[in-house]
Amino acid sequence: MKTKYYFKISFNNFIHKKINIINVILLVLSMTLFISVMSFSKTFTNILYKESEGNIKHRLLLVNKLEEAFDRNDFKDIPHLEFISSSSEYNHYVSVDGNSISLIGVPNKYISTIYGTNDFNDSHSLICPSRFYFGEDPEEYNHEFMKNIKEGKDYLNRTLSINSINYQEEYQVVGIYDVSNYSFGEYNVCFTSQSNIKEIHTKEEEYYKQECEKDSFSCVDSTDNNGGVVLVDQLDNIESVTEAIESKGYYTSVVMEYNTEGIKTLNEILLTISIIVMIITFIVLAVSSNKFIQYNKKNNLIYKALGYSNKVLIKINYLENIIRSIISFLITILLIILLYVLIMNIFSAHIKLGYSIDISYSSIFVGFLAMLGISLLSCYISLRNNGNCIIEELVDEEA
Amino acid sequence: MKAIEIKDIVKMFTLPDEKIIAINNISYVFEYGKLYAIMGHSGSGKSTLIQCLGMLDNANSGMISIDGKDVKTLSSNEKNDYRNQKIGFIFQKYYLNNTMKAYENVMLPMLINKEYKNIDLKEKALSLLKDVGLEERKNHLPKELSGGEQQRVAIARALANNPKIILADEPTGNLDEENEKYVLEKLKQLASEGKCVIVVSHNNLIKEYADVVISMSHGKFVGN
Repeated sequence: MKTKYYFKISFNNFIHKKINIINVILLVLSMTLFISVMSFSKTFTNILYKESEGNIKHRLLLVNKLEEAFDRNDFKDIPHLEFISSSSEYNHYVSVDGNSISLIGVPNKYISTIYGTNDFNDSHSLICPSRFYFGEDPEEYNHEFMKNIKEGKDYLNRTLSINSINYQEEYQVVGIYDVSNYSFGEYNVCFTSQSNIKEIHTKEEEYYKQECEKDSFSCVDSTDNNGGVVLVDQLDNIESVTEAIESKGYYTSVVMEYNTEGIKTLNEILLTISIIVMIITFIVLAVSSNKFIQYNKKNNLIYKALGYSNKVLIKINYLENIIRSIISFLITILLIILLYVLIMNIFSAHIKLGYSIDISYSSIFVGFLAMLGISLLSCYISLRNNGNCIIEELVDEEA
Repeated sequence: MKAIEIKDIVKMFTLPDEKIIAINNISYVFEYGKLYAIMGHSGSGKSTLIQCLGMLDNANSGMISIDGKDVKTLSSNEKNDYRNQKIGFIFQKYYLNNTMKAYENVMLPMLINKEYKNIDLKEKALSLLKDVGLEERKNHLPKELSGGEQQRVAIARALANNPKIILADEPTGNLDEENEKYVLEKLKQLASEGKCVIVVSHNNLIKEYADVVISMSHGKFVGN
């Protein structure tokens, strides 16, 4: 049979059957639900990641060009700003047993008041976090000491070997602070006195000076590192302090720690819900296609009596299915766009929605493929089962 | 000349509690150029017989040959071709496609006829409708036609591929007297043109048109 007749018969069958309206509505509803759930899951997860924070009382701001700021005394009058460390007091990445941690120098009074220890001794002492995170999976570390460090136990009063350029000294951990209360943007931050940090810097500068004289590599100007940290008294004041610093022409970046454990669990729940909705959608597609073949049974029997082969019947029925699927899909897309516009307009008018809604394009693609694939399979199975139709079945239909 | 020959055919239906013998060892030869009327009470096996003759159902045993060819030796595709080109069916309830116009219904058998590849199918369909007096109703859907008109469309459809054998199962069952006569006259005309026309009916009017009247009871031919 010529292709144009296939399309003509299929399209004709589609537009004249009232049952197809119900089929299309069912398909549109199930596909819209599927895409909406997947999109909601994606959007919600993104929002959670953006919003989640630990319980932070203090937060560090990183500031560039700190030396200039000190020269001009720029930060003198900024309220709620408790402390600024200069570059000479802020040292990144010393190594402990082959792993990097950050050392930050703060005045002793902060250690006393914030970290809860009154007997902080200047001499090579550290206040370290209750948990360290080394690498992507701390579980991988078998070293007993690292395990203990990870679990925060039994390393109080332990000695850590601090190594930096041209420097190696032993420090003692005299106090532990709760990471969940104090988030500094990096997991492995230990605090020590400013004098200890100066000592490390001095050693580094000696090294760089020697190397420059040797001319063995390009000299590094350690004073280029003008970054520093700013300590703010309360979390609520972080924004005002940031604004004040930035208004004076300095760049700040706030680093935050995310508590992602809860998000992972929620993610798994949302994924499970999405999969369930997907399965339900596919079942609706299969049942809808099957029912559609049942309703076509009378016509199929007539065609068989006229000499139409199963192959031709499968093509006719499947083409009708494709037309139905495409129309349903187009209506679904329109509906999704309408919903998107509606939600964005309503919610951004009444609630300050700082986020955009993410539409799950992959679910749209998967949904369309499922519509076509499941329709074909149902068509094939149903017509194969109806292969030996006889006129009595027509009579039964009429009865 | 033999159109359809049947030999010792038996057709049984197996129900949970019993076996029903619908066709009980019938042998007969149907020839071209004749109108056969198979008559009998309800449940005598007439419709079952005509379905077996048209390969819409399979006999349990015996032989059915069409134009000398045993239907058991035909493949599925060959059976489809036979139903499409050699046999035209007319049913009591017309069984038209309700979503298609009259001329489109007539075109249906022609769409899969390979011999009609280069023919203007619509033109041929309109010509067939004209033969049955329905040219002006060509664009109407079946629901817009009367019973008699629908049956005429069904007759035109049955003749679409110019089959040599016409099988009609109670073709006048739902028609008024005037349309009954029209249909029976048409069938008579087809037989006179050389076709083998087999009509199953319990309407006595057919006796006036048929060349051969066969009585059927309890699955057997009891009178000729």
